[in-house]
Amino acid sequence: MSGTASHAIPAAGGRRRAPRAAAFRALAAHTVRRRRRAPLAWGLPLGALSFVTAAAYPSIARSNAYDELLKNYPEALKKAFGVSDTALHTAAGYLAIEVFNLIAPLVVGVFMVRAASAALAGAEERGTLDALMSSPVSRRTVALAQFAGSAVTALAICVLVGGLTWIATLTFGVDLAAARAAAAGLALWPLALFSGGLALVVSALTHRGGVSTAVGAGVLVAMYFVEALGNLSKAIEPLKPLSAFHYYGSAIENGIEWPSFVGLCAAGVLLALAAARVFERRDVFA
Amino acid sequence: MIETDQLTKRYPGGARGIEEVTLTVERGEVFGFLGPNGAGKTTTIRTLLGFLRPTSGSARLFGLDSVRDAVAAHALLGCLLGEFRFDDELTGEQVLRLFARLRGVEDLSPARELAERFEADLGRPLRELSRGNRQKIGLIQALFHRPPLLILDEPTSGLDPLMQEEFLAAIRERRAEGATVFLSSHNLAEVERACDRVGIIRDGRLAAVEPVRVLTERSFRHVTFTFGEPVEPAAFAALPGVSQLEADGRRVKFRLSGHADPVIKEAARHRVLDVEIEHPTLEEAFLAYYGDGGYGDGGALA
Repeated sequence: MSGTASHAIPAAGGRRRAPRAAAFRALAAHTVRRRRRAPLAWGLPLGALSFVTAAAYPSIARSNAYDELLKNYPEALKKAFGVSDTALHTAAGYLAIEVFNLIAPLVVGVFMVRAASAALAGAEERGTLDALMSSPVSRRTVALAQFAGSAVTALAICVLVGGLTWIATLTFGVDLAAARAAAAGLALWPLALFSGGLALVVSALTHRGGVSTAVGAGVLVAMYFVEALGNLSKAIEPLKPLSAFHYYGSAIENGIEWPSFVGLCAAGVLLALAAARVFERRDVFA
Repeated sequence: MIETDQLTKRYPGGARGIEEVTLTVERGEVFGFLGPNGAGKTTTIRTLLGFLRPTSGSARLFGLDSVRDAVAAHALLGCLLGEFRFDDELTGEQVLRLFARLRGVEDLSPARELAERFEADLGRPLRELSRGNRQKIGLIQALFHRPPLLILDEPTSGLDPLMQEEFLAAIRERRAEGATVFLSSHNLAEVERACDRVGIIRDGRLAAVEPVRVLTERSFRHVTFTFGEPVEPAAFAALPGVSQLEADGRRVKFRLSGHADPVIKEAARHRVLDVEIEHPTLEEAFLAYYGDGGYGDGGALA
Protein backbone atom coordinates (compact mmCIF):
# COMPACT_ATOMS: atom_id res chain seq x y z
CA MET A 1 0.00 0.00 0.00
CA SER A 2 1.29 3.40 -0.90
CA GLY A 3 -0.06 4.97 2.27
CA THR A 4 -3.11 7.06 2.67
CA ALA A 5 -1.42 10.40 2.07
CA SER A 6 -1.49 9.85 -1.67
CA HIS A 7 -5.27 9.66 -1.75
CA ALA A 8 -7.54 12.57 -2.27
CA ILE A 9 -9.08 12.31 1.15
CA PRO A 10 -9.01 15.00 3.75
CA ALA A 11 -7.07 14.64 6.97
CA ALA A 12 -9.08 14.51 10.15
CA GLY A 13 -10.91 17.79 10.33
CA GLY A 14 -11.79 17.72 6.66
CA ARG A 15 -15.36 17.86 5.57
CA ARG A 16 -16.90 15.63 2.99
CA ARG A 17 -20.19 16.54 1.47
CA ALA A 18 -21.45 16.40 -2.08
CA PRO A 19 -23.14 19.50 -3.48
CA ARG A 20 -26.87 19.20 -2.95
CA ALA A 21 -27.67 18.57 -6.62
CA ALA A 22 -24.98 15.89 -6.88
CA ALA A 23 -26.31 14.10 -3.81
CA PHE A 24 -29.83 14.29 -5.22
CA ARG A 25 -28.67 12.82 -8.53
CA ALA A 26 -26.67 10.07 -6.83
CA LEU A 27 -29.61 8.99 -4.70
CA ALA A 28 -32.12 9.24 -7.54
CA ALA A 29 -29.81 7.21 -9.79
CA HIS A 30 -29.41 4.67 -7.00
CA THR A 31 -33.19 4.38 -6.75
CA VAL A 32 -33.48 3.77 -10.49
CA ARG A 33 -30.63 1.25 -10.47
CA ARG A 34 -31.95 -0.82 -7.62
CA ARG A 35 -35.28 -1.13 -9.45
CA ARG A 36 -33.72 -1.62 -12.84
CA ARG A 37 -35.72 -4.79 -13.32
CA ALA A 38 -39.02 -3.13 -12.41
CA PRO A 39 -39.79 -1.85 -15.93
CA LEU A 40 -39.69 -5.45 -17.07
CA ALA A 41 -41.39 -6.92 -14.02
CA TRP A 42 -44.26 -4.40 -14.12
CA GLY A 43 -44.25 -3.06 -17.66
CA LEU A 44 -43.87 -6.35 -19.46
CA PRO A 45 -46.95 -8.13 -18.07
CA LEU A 46 -49.06 -5.01 -18.47
CA GLY A 47 -47.64 -4.34 -21.94
CA ALA A 48 -48.25 -7.97 -22.82
CA LEU A 49 -51.87 -7.68 -21.75
CA SER A 50 -52.26 -4.64 -23.97
CA PHE A 51 -50.39 -6.40 -26.77
CA VAL A 52 -52.62 -9.48 -26.65
CA THR A 53 -55.74 -7.34 -26.37
CA ALA A 54 -54.73 -5.30 -29.41
CA ALA A 55 -53.81 -8.47 -31.29
CA ALA A 56 -57.21 -9.98 -30.59
CA TYR A 57 -59.15 -6.90 -31.65
CA PRO A 58 -59.31 -7.50 -35.43
CA SER A 59 -61.00 -10.88 -35.00
CA ILE A 60 -63.35 -9.50 -32.37
CA ALA A 61 -64.27 -6.59 -34.65
CA ARG A 62 -65.22 -9.06 -37.36
CA SER A 63 -67.65 -10.88 -35.14
CA ASN A 64 -70.61 -9.19 -33.52
CA ALA A 65 -70.40 -11.25 -30.39
CA TYR A 66 -69.33 -8.36 -28.20
CA ASP A 67 -71.98 -6.08 -29.56
CA GLU A 68 -74.59 -8.59 -28.51
CA LEU A 69 -72.98 -8.96 -25.14
CA LEU A 70 -72.79 -5.22 -24.61
CA LYS A 71 -76.46 -4.70 -25.50
CA ASN A 72 -77.43 -6.98 -22.64
CA TYR A 73 -75.23 -5.21 -20.11
CA PRO A 74 -77.08 -3.18 -17.48
CA GLU A 75 -77.24 0.44 -18.50
CA ALA A 76 -75.88 1.53 -15.10
CA LEU A 77 -72.78 -0.57 -15.45
CA LYS A 78 -72.03 0.81 -18.87
CA LYS A 79 -72.49 4.30 -17.57
CA ALA A 80 -70.25 3.70 -14.59
CA PHE A 81 -67.41 2.44 -16.69
CA GLY A 82 -67.91 4.99 -19.43
CA VAL A 83 -68.74 2.39 -22.02
CA SER A 84 -70.82 3.50 -24.98
CA ASP A 85 -72.60 1.04 -27.24
CA THR A 86 -70.21 1.94 -30.00
CA ALA A 87 -67.09 1.65 -27.85
CA LEU A 88 -66.25 -1.72 -29.28
CA HIS A 89 -66.42 -0.43 -32.81
CA THR A 90 -62.94 1.04 -32.45
CA ALA A 91 -59.68 -0.54 -31.39
CA ALA A 92 -59.07 2.39 -29.08
CA GLY A 93 -62.40 1.93 -27.33
CA TYR A 94 -61.78 -1.77 -26.93
CA LEU A 95 -58.29 -1.26 -25.49
CA ALA A 96 -59.61 1.44 -23.18
CA ILE A 97 -62.22 -0.87 -21.72
CA GLU A 98 -59.98 -3.91 -21.48
CA VAL A 99 -56.70 -2.32 -20.37
CA PHE A 100 -56.35 1.43 -20.03
CA ASN A 101 -59.44 2.50 -18.09
CA LEU A 102 -58.82 0.44 -14.99
CA ILE A 103 -56.08 -2.14 -14.94
CA ALA A 104 -53.21 -0.12 -16.37
CA PRO A 105 -53.61 2.97 -14.15
CA LEU A 106 -54.03 0.78 -11.09
CA VAL A 107 -50.93 -1.27 -11.87
CA VAL A 108 -48.76 1.77 -12.51
CA GLY A 109 -50.29 3.53 -9.50
CA VAL A 110 -49.63 0.58 -7.22
CA PHE A 111 -46.04 0.42 -8.45
CA MET A 112 -45.51 4.01 -7.31
CA VAL A 113 -47.39 3.45 -4.06
CA ARG A 114 -45.05 0.59 -3.25
CA ALA A 115 -41.95 2.51 -4.25
CA ALA A 116 -42.92 5.56 -2.19
CA SER A 117 -43.86 3.41 0.79
CA ALA A 118 -40.52 1.63 0.62
CA ALA A 119 -38.60 4.91 0.36
CA LEU A 120 -39.32 6.17 3.88
CA ALA A 121 -41.58 4.05 6.09
CA GLY A 122 -40.44 0.75 4.58
CA ALA A 123 -36.77 1.71 4.76
CA GLU A 124 -37.20 2.79 8.36
CA GLU A 125 -38.85 -0.51 9.19
CA ARG A 126 -36.10 -2.50 7.49
CA GLY A 127 -33.42 -0.38 9.14
CA THR A 128 -31.89 0.72 5.86
CA LEU A 129 -32.76 4.38 6.36
CA ASP A 130 -30.15 4.94 9.08
CA ALA A 131 -27.16 4.63 6.79
CA LEU A 132 -28.69 7.04 4.31
CA MET A 133 -29.69 9.56 6.94
CA SER A 134 -26.29 9.59 8.60
CA SER A 135 -24.84 10.73 5.29
CA PRO A 136 -24.64 14.47 4.70
CA VAL A 137 -27.94 14.46 2.85
CA SER A 138 -31.02 16.34 3.98
CA ARG A 139 -34.20 14.50 4.75
CA ARG A 140 -35.80 16.46 1.96
CA THR A 141 -33.31 14.99 -0.48
CA VAL A 142 -33.81 11.51 0.95
CA ALA A 143 -37.54 11.81 0.27
CA LEU A 144 -37.53 13.68 -3.03
CA ALA A 145 -34.60 11.98 -4.74
CA GLN A 146 -36.15 8.59 -4.15
CA PHE A 147 -39.47 9.92 -5.42
CA ALA A 148 -37.79 11.26 -8.55
CA GLY A 149 -35.94 7.99 -9.14
CA SER A 150 -39.17 6.01 -8.79
CA ALA A 151 -40.90 8.40 -11.18
CA VAL A 152 -38.25 7.68 -13.80
CA THR A 153 -38.83 3.95 -13.39
CA ALA A 154 -42.58 4.50 -13.64
CA LEU A 155 -42.03 6.43 -16.86
CA ALA A 156 -40.08 3.48 -18.24
CA ILE A 157 -43.02 1.21 -17.39
CA CYS A 158 -45.42 3.58 -19.15
CA VAL A 159 -43.20 3.77 -22.22
CA LEU A 160 -42.93 0.00 -22.35
CA VAL A 161 -46.72 -0.38 -22.15
CA GLY A 162 -47.26 2.23 -24.87
CA GLY A 163 -44.52 0.72 -26.99
CA LEU A 164 -45.85 -2.82 -26.81
CA THR A 165 -49.32 -1.57 -27.67
CA TRP A 166 -47.90 0.24 -30.68
CA ILE A 167 -45.95 -2.84 -31.83
CA ALA A 168 -49.14 -4.92 -31.59
CA THR A 169 -51.06 -2.45 -33.74
CA LEU A 170 -48.33 -2.60 -36.38
CA THR A 171 -48.00 -6.37 -36.28
CA PHE A 172 -51.67 -7.20 -36.40
CA GLY A 173 -52.88 -4.35 -38.57
CA VAL A 174 -54.96 -2.78 -35.83
CA ASP A 175 -56.48 0.55 -36.76
CA LEU A 176 -54.88 2.68 -34.06
CA ALA A 177 -52.56 5.62 -34.66
CA ALA A 178 -49.05 5.23 -33.26
CA ALA A 179 -49.48 8.55 -31.46
CA ARG A 180 -52.55 7.19 -29.65
CA ALA A 181 -50.72 4.09 -28.51
CA ALA A 182 -47.92 6.27 -27.20
CA ALA A 183 -50.40 8.63 -25.57
CA ALA A 184 -52.11 5.72 -23.82
CA GLY A 185 -48.80 4.71 -22.21
CA LEU A 186 -47.70 8.23 -21.40
CA ALA A 187 -51.04 9.22 -19.89
CA LEU A 188 -50.47 6.63 -17.17
CA TRP A 189 -47.54 8.61 -15.84
CA PRO A 190 -49.36 11.56 -14.19
CA LEU A 191 -51.51 9.09 -12.32
CA ALA A 192 -48.35 7.28 -11.23
CA LEU A 193 -46.84 10.55 -9.97
CA PHE A 194 -50.01 11.39 -8.11
CA SER A 195 -50.19 7.93 -6.51
CA GLY A 196 -46.53 8.16 -5.57
CA GLY A 197 -46.91 11.61 -4.06
CA LEU A 198 -49.91 10.48 -2.07
CA ALA A 199 -48.16 7.37 -0.77
CA LEU A 200 -45.04 9.40 0.04
CA VAL A 201 -47.12 11.54 2.38
CA VAL A 202 -48.37 8.42 4.16
CA SER A 203 -44.85 6.99 4.10
CA ALA A 204 -43.58 10.18 5.76
CA LEU A 205 -46.29 10.02 8.42
CA THR A 206 -46.19 6.38 9.38
CA HIS A 207 -43.33 4.14 10.46
CA ARG A 208 -44.49 1.01 8.71
CA GLY A 209 -44.17 0.31 5.00
CA GLY A 210 -47.14 -2.04 4.96
CA VAL A 211 -49.43 0.61 6.40
CA SER A 212 -48.25 3.10 3.82
CA THR A 213 -48.78 0.67 0.95
CA ALA A 214 -52.22 -0.33 2.18
CA VAL A 215 -53.41 3.24 2.71
CA GLY A 216 -51.95 4.46 -0.58
CA ALA A 217 -53.42 1.62 -2.62
CA GLY A 218 -56.71 1.90 -0.71
CA VAL A 219 -57.05 5.59 -1.50
CA LEU A 220 -56.21 4.91 -5.14
CA VAL A 221 -58.93 2.27 -5.46
CA ALA A 222 -61.39 4.48 -3.58
CA MET A 223 -60.67 7.28 -6.03
CA TYR A 224 -61.39 4.94 -8.89
CA PHE A 225 -64.76 4.06 -7.42
CA VAL A 226 -65.61 7.69 -6.71
CA GLU A 227 -65.09 8.43 -10.39
CA ALA A 228 -66.97 5.32 -11.57
CA LEU A 229 -69.88 5.60 -9.17
CA GLY A 230 -69.99 9.37 -9.59
CA ASN A 231 -71.33 8.64 -13.04
CA LEU A 232 -74.29 6.86 -11.44
CA SER A 233 -75.00 8.50 -8.15
CA LYS A 234 -76.00 12.12 -7.67
CA ALA A 235 -74.68 11.86 -4.10
CA ILE A 236 -71.20 10.89 -5.18
CA GLU A 237 -71.02 13.04 -8.27
CA PRO A 238 -69.82 16.21 -6.48
CA LEU A 239 -66.83 14.23 -5.16
CA LYS A 240 -65.58 13.37 -8.63
CA PRO A 241 -63.21 16.34 -8.91
CA LEU A 242 -61.40 14.97 -5.82
CA SER A 243 -60.53 11.78 -7.63
CA ALA A 244 -57.32 11.59 -9.61
CA PHE A 245 -59.14 9.38 -12.11
CA HIS A 246 -61.37 12.32 -12.93
CA TYR A 247 -58.36 13.87 -14.66
CA TYR A 248 -57.05 10.68 -16.18
CA GLY A 249 -59.39 10.71 -19.17
CA SER A 250 -58.95 8.21 -21.97
CA ALA A 251 -55.86 9.15 -23.92
CA ILE A 252 -56.09 6.16 -26.22
CA GLU A 253 -59.46 7.39 -27.51
CA ASN A 254 -59.10 11.15 -27.22
CA GLY A 255 -55.39 11.83 -27.02
CA ILE A 256 -53.73 13.42 -24.04
CA GLU A 257 -55.61 16.26 -22.39
CA TRP A 258 -52.63 18.39 -21.51
CA PRO A 259 -54.16 20.60 -18.80
CA SER A 260 -55.22 17.50 -16.87
CA PHE A 261 -51.90 15.82 -17.60
CA VAL A 262 -49.89 18.75 -16.27
CA GLY A 263 -52.28 19.33 -13.39
CA LEU A 264 -52.07 15.74 -12.18
CA CYS A 265 -48.26 15.77 -12.45
CA ALA A 266 -48.15 19.02 -10.49
CA ALA A 267 -50.43 17.59 -7.81
CA GLY A 268 -48.12 14.58 -7.49
CA VAL A 269 -45.06 16.78 -7.13
CA LEU A 270 -46.81 19.04 -4.61
CA LEU A 271 -47.79 16.00 -2.55
CA ALA A 272 -44.17 14.82 -2.64
CA LEU A 273 -42.99 18.24 -1.47
CA ALA A 274 -45.53 18.13 1.34
CA ALA A 275 -44.31 14.64 2.23
CA ALA A 276 -40.74 15.95 2.45
CA ARG A 277 -41.85 18.62 4.91
CA VAL A 278 -43.69 16.08 7.03
CA PHE A 279 -40.66 13.80 6.96
CA GLU A 280 -38.34 16.62 8.03
CA ARG A 281 -40.33 17.04 11.22
CA ARG A 282 -40.68 13.50 12.44
CA ASP A 283 -38.65 11.02 14.44
CA VAL A 284 -36.94 8.17 12.67
CA PHE A 285 -36.84 5.12 14.88
CA ALA A 286 -34.38 2.28 15.00
CA MET B 1 -16.92 17.95 19.98
CA ILE B 2 -20.12 16.51 21.39
CA GLU B 3 -22.15 18.51 23.86
CA THR B 4 -25.54 17.72 25.22
CA ASP B 5 -27.41 19.95 27.59
CA GLN B 6 -30.26 18.50 29.65
CA LEU B 7 -31.03 16.36 26.62
CA THR B 8 -34.40 14.69 27.07
CA LYS B 9 -36.29 12.43 24.71
CA ARG B 10 -39.61 10.93 25.67
CA TYR B 11 -41.42 8.63 23.28
CA PRO B 12 -45.07 9.22 22.53
CA GLY B 13 -46.02 5.64 23.42
CA GLY B 14 -44.59 6.09 26.90
CA ALA B 15 -41.55 3.91 26.25
CA ARG B 16 -38.58 5.16 28.18
CA GLY B 17 -36.23 7.51 26.40
CA ILE B 18 -33.61 9.63 28.09
CA GLU B 19 -33.91 12.26 30.78
CA GLU B 20 -31.69 15.31 31.17
CA VAL B 21 -28.50 13.85 29.81
CA THR B 22 -25.71 16.42 30.05
CA LEU B 23 -22.45 15.28 28.61
CA THR B 24 -19.34 16.65 26.93
CA VAL B 25 -16.94 14.68 24.79
CA GLU B 26 -13.66 16.43 24.07
CA ARG B 27 -11.84 16.54 20.78
CA GLY B 28 -9.51 13.58 20.34
CA GLU B 29 -11.16 11.52 23.04
CA VAL B 30 -12.46 7.97 22.75
CA PHE B 31 -15.59 8.01 24.81
CA GLY B 32 -17.30 4.81 25.80
CA PHE B 33 -21.02 4.85 26.37
CA LEU B 34 -22.14 1.99 28.50
CA GLY B 35 -25.42 0.68 29.70
CA PRO B 36 -27.65 -2.34 29.62
CA ASN B 37 -30.03 -2.82 26.71
CA GLY B 38 -32.92 -0.43 26.93
CA ALA B 39 -31.09 2.05 29.15
CA GLY B 40 -31.07 4.78 26.52
CA LYS B 41 -27.79 4.35 24.62
CA THR B 42 -29.42 4.12 21.23
CA THR B 43 -31.90 6.89 22.02
CA THR B 44 -29.02 9.18 22.96
CA ILE B 45 -27.13 8.40 19.78
CA ARG B 46 -30.15 8.80 17.53
CA THR B 47 -30.88 12.14 19.15
CA LEU B 48 -27.26 13.23 18.64
CA LEU B 49 -27.64 12.42 14.96
CA GLY B 50 -30.90 14.31 14.66
CA PHE B 51 -32.91 11.17 13.83
CA LEU B 52 -34.95 11.88 16.94
CA ARG B 53 -35.97 15.38 17.94
CA PRO B 54 -35.25 16.22 21.55
CA THR B 55 -38.31 16.64 23.75
CA SER B 56 -36.28 19.26 25.58
CA GLY B 57 -32.66 20.23 25.96
CA SER B 58 -30.22 20.22 23.08
CA ALA B 59 -27.40 18.31 21.47
CA ARG B 60 -24.55 19.85 19.50
CA LEU B 61 -21.85 18.24 17.39
CA PHE B 62 -18.98 20.52 16.38
CA GLY B 63 -21.13 23.26 17.84
CA LEU B 64 -23.83 22.44 15.28
CA ASP B 65 -27.38 21.82 16.39
CA SER B 66 -28.36 18.17 16.06
CA VAL B 67 -31.63 18.91 14.29
CA ARG B 68 -31.18 22.22 12.50
CA ASP B 69 -27.64 21.62 11.23
CA ALA B 70 -27.79 17.85 10.85
CA VAL B 71 -26.48 17.80 7.29
CA ALA B 72 -23.44 19.94 8.10
CA ALA B 73 -22.70 17.79 11.16
CA HIS B 74 -23.09 14.55 9.22
CA ALA B 75 -20.54 15.79 6.70
CA LEU B 76 -17.99 15.63 9.51
CA LEU B 77 -18.81 12.27 10.97
CA GLY B 78 -18.94 8.61 10.15
CA CYS B 79 -21.29 6.31 11.94
CA LEU B 80 -22.39 2.76 12.30
CA LEU B 81 -25.54 2.05 14.25
CA GLY B 82 -25.81 -1.53 15.40
CA GLU B 83 -26.09 -4.07 12.67
CA PHE B 84 -25.36 -2.48 9.29
CA ARG B 85 -28.35 -2.72 6.97
CA PHE B 86 -28.78 -1.40 3.50
CA ASP B 87 -30.49 -2.39 0.27
CA ASP B 88 -29.27 -5.94 0.29
CA GLU B 89 -29.28 -6.61 -3.43
CA LEU B 90 -26.31 -4.24 -3.70
CA THR B 91 -22.74 -5.43 -3.48
CA GLY B 92 -20.41 -3.93 -0.91
CA GLU B 93 -18.73 -2.01 -3.70
CA GLN B 94 -22.03 -0.51 -4.88
CA VAL B 95 -22.97 0.44 -1.33
CA LEU B 96 -19.64 2.15 -0.75
CA ARG B 97 -19.77 3.93 -4.09
CA LEU B 98 -23.19 5.38 -3.23
CA PHE B 99 -22.08 6.58 0.19
CA ALA B 100 -18.91 8.01 -1.35
CA ARG B 101 -20.95 9.92 -3.92
CA LEU B 102 -23.24 11.29 -1.25
CA ARG B 103 -20.08 12.72 0.29
CA GLY B 104 -18.76 14.04 -2.99
CA VAL B 105 -15.98 11.41 -3.07
CA GLU B 106 -15.31 9.58 -6.33
CA ASP B 107 -12.12 7.80 -5.32
CA LEU B 108 -12.89 4.46 -3.68
CA SER B 109 -9.30 3.44 -2.98
CA PRO B 110 -9.39 4.30 0.74
CA ALA B 111 -12.47 2.11 1.04
CA ARG B 112 -10.73 -0.69 -0.85
CA GLU B 113 -7.74 -0.46 1.46
CA LEU B 114 -10.01 -0.84 4.45
CA ALA B 115 -11.75 -3.75 2.76
CA GLU B 116 -8.42 -5.47 2.32
CA ARG B 117 -7.58 -4.88 5.93
CA PHE B 118 -10.90 -6.20 7.24
CA GLU B 119 -10.92 -8.96 4.63
CA ALA B 120 -14.29 -7.73 3.45
CA ASP B 121 -15.86 -9.12 0.30
CA LEU B 122 -16.96 -6.15 -1.80
CA GLY B 123 -18.04 -8.21 -4.78
CA ARG B 124 -21.04 -9.98 -3.33
CA PRO B 125 -24.52 -8.66 -2.61
CA LEU B 126 -25.11 -7.88 1.06
CA ARG B 127 -27.79 -10.50 1.29
CA GLU B 128 -25.26 -13.21 0.54
CA LEU B 129 -22.90 -12.04 3.27
CA SER B 130 -22.81 -13.34 6.83
CA ARG B 131 -23.74 -10.91 9.55
CA GLY B 132 -20.11 -10.31 10.40
CA ASN B 133 -19.15 -9.70 6.79
CA ARG B 134 -22.01 -7.27 6.37
CA GLN B 135 -20.85 -5.47 9.46
CA LYS B 136 -17.43 -5.02 7.86
CA ILE B 137 -19.07 -3.12 5.00
CA GLY B 138 -20.73 -0.94 7.61
CA LEU B 139 -17.40 -0.26 9.30
CA ILE B 140 -15.76 0.66 6.02
CA GLN B 141 -18.70 2.93 5.25
CA ALA B 142 -18.13 4.70 8.58
CA LEU B 143 -14.36 5.00 8.24
CA PHE B 144 -13.44 5.47 4.58
CA HIS B 145 -13.83 9.24 4.45
CA ARG B 146 -11.67 9.72 7.56
CA PRO B 147 -14.23 11.67 9.51
CA PRO B 148 -13.03 13.71 12.47
CA LEU B 149 -15.86 12.19 14.51
CA LEU B 150 -16.97 8.58 14.67
CA ILE B 151 -20.25 7.61 16.26
CA LEU B 152 -20.56 3.89 16.75
CA ASP B 153 -23.43 2.05 18.38
CA GLU B 154 -22.55 -1.55 19.20
CA PRO B 155 -20.32 -1.67 16.12
CA THR B 156 -18.66 -5.02 16.66
CA SER B 157 -21.83 -7.07 16.95
CA GLY B 158 -21.44 -10.19 14.84
CA LEU B 159 -17.70 -9.79 14.31
CA ASP B 160 -15.38 -12.59 15.31
CA PRO B 161 -12.81 -11.73 18.01
CA LEU B 162 -10.00 -11.35 15.49
CA MET B 163 -11.97 -8.78 13.54
CA GLN B 164 -13.04 -7.03 16.72
CA GLU B 165 -9.36 -6.64 17.48
CA GLU B 166 -8.65 -5.33 13.99
CA PHE B 167 -11.50 -2.91 14.35
CA LEU B 168 -10.28 -1.63 17.71
CA ALA B 169 -6.85 -1.14 16.16
CA ALA B 170 -8.44 0.94 13.40
CA ILE B 171 -10.16 3.06 16.05
CA ARG B 172 -6.89 3.61 17.88
CA GLU B 173 -5.30 4.73 14.62
CA ARG B 174 -8.08 7.17 13.94
CA ARG B 175 -7.64 8.50 17.42
CA ALA B 176 -3.89 8.88 16.90
CA GLU B 177 -4.78 11.04 13.91
CA GLY B 178 -6.83 13.24 16.17
CA ALA B 179 -10.32 11.89 15.57
CA THR B 180 -12.93 11.76 18.30
CA VAL B 181 -14.83 8.54 18.88
CA PHE B 182 -18.14 8.00 20.61
CA LEU B 183 -18.54 4.27 21.13
CA SER B 184 -21.56 2.70 22.70
CA SER B 185 -21.28 -0.86 23.81
CA HIS B 186 -22.38 -3.34 26.37
CA ASN B 187 -19.08 -5.11 25.99
CA LEU B 188 -16.98 -4.04 28.95
CA ALA B 189 -13.77 -5.58 27.63
CA GLU B 190 -14.09 -3.67 24.37
CA VAL B 191 -14.71 -0.40 26.13
CA GLU B 192 -11.88 -1.03 28.55
CA ARG B 193 -9.42 -1.50 25.73
CA ALA B 194 -10.57 1.30 23.47
CA CYS B 195 -11.79 4.14 25.61
CA ASP B 196 -10.40 6.97 27.67
CA ARG B 197 -13.56 7.81 29.53
CA VAL B 198 -16.88 6.12 29.94
CA GLY B 199 -20.34 7.42 30.53
CA ILE B 200 -22.78 5.05 32.12
CA ILE B 201 -26.43 5.35 31.35
CA ARG B 202 -29.06 3.65 33.43
CA ASP B 203 -32.83 3.99 33.20
CA GLY B 204 -32.44 6.83 30.74
CA ARG B 205 -30.23 8.89 33.00
CA LEU B 206 -26.52 9.44 32.86
CA ALA B 207 -25.39 7.71 36.05
CA ALA B 208 -21.75 8.67 35.87
CA VAL B 209 -18.88 9.73 33.69
CA GLU B 210 -15.50 8.39 34.72
CA PRO B 211 -12.09 7.68 33.28
CA VAL B 212 -12.19 4.04 32.25
CA ARG B 213 -9.45 3.18 34.76
CA VAL B 214 -11.64 4.07 37.69
CA LEU B 215 -14.37 1.72 36.62
CA THR B 216 -12.15 -1.24 35.98
CA GLU B 217 -10.08 -0.80 39.13
CA ARG B 218 -13.23 -1.01 41.13
CA SER B 219 -14.46 -4.02 39.25
CA PHE B 220 -14.89 -7.34 41.02
CA ARG B 221 -15.13 -11.08 40.36
CA HIS B 222 -17.37 -13.86 41.56
CA VAL B 223 -15.19 -16.50 43.23
CA THR B 224 -16.36 -19.98 44.19
CA PHE B 225 -14.09 -22.49 45.95
CA THR B 226 -15.00 -26.10 46.46
CA PHE B 227 -12.86 -27.72 49.14
CA GLY B 228 -12.17 -31.31 50.07
CA GLU B 229 -13.57 -30.73 53.57
CA PRO B 230 -15.80 -28.18 55.30
CA VAL B 231 -14.02 -24.91 56.03
CA GLU B 232 -14.59 -22.03 58.39
CA PRO B 233 -16.07 -19.21 56.21
CA ALA B 234 -15.17 -16.48 58.69
CA ALA B 235 -11.52 -16.76 57.72
CA PHE B 236 -12.46 -15.77 54.14
CA ALA B 237 -14.97 -13.15 55.17
CA ALA B 238 -12.25 -11.35 57.09
CA LEU B 239 -9.97 -11.04 54.07
CA PRO B 240 -9.63 -7.69 52.29
CA GLY B 241 -11.83 -7.29 49.20
CA VAL B 242 -14.21 -10.12 50.11
CA SER B 243 -17.92 -9.43 50.35
CA GLN B 244 -21.30 -11.12 49.95
CA LEU B 245 -19.90 -14.35 51.25
CA GLU B 246 -22.05 -17.46 51.16
CA ALA B 247 -20.79 -20.69 52.66
CA ASP B 248 -22.30 -24.13 52.39
CA GLY B 249 -19.99 -26.57 54.13
CA ARG B 250 -17.33 -27.35 51.58
CA ARG B 251 -18.34 -24.58 49.19
CA VAL B 252 -17.46 -20.94 49.70
CA LYS B 253 -18.74 -18.29 47.37
CA PHE B 254 -18.02 -14.56 47.50
CA ARG B 255 -17.33 -11.39 45.59
CA LEU B 256 -13.74 -10.36 45.38
CA SER B 257 -12.44 -6.94 44.54
CA GLY B 258 -8.79 -5.96 44.42
CA HIS B 259 -5.93 -8.46 44.58
CA ALA B 260 -6.60 -12.17 44.68
CA ASP B 261 -3.45 -12.96 46.63
CA PRO B 262 -4.85 -13.09 50.22
CA VAL B 263 -7.74 -15.27 49.10
CA ILE B 264 -5.49 -17.71 47.26
CA LYS B 265 -3.15 -17.96 50.27
CA GLU B 266 -6.05 -18.66 52.59
CA ALA B 267 -7.53 -21.25 50.22
CA ALA B 268 -4.16 -22.95 49.85
CA ARG B 269 -4.34 -24.01 53.48
CA HIS B 270 -7.09 -26.42 52.45
CA ARG B 271 -7.49 -29.10 49.82
CA VAL B 272 -8.96 -27.25 46.82
CA LEU B 273 -11.12 -29.43 44.53
CA ASP B 274 -12.29 -26.69 42.27
CA VAL B 275 -12.16 -22.96 41.83
CA GLU B 276 -14.31 -20.81 39.60
CA ILE B 277 -13.59 -17.16 38.94
CA GLU B 278 -16.25 -15.32 37.00
CA HIS B 279 -16.04 -11.77 35.79
CA PRO B 280 -19.17 -9.80 36.44
CA THR B 281 -21.42 -8.71 33.67
CA LEU B 282 -21.06 -5.08 32.90
CA GLU B 283 -24.39 -4.39 34.47
CA GLU B 284 -23.30 -5.96 37.74
CA ALA B 285 -20.04 -4.05 37.62
CA PHE B 286 -21.61 -0.69 37.45
CA LEU B 287 -24.56 -1.52 39.60
CA ALA B 288 -22.02 -2.43 42.21
CA TYR B 289 -20.13 0.75 41.59
CA TYR B 290 -23.12 3.04 41.61
CA GLY B 291 -25.50 0.93 43.65
CA ASP B 292 -26.65 1.81 47.13
CA GLY B 293 -24.31 -0.37 49.11
CA GLY B 294 -20.54 -0.50 49.04
CA TYR B 295 -19.07 -3.84 48.24
CA GLY B 296 -15.36 -3.06 48.33
CA ASP B 297 -15.05 -2.10 51.98
CA GLY B 298 -15.30 -5.58 53.40
CA GLY B 299 -18.93 -5.00 54.28
CA ALA B 300 -21.87 -6.85 52.82
CA LEU B 301 -24.50 -5.09 50.77
CA ALA B 302 -27.14 -3.52 52.91
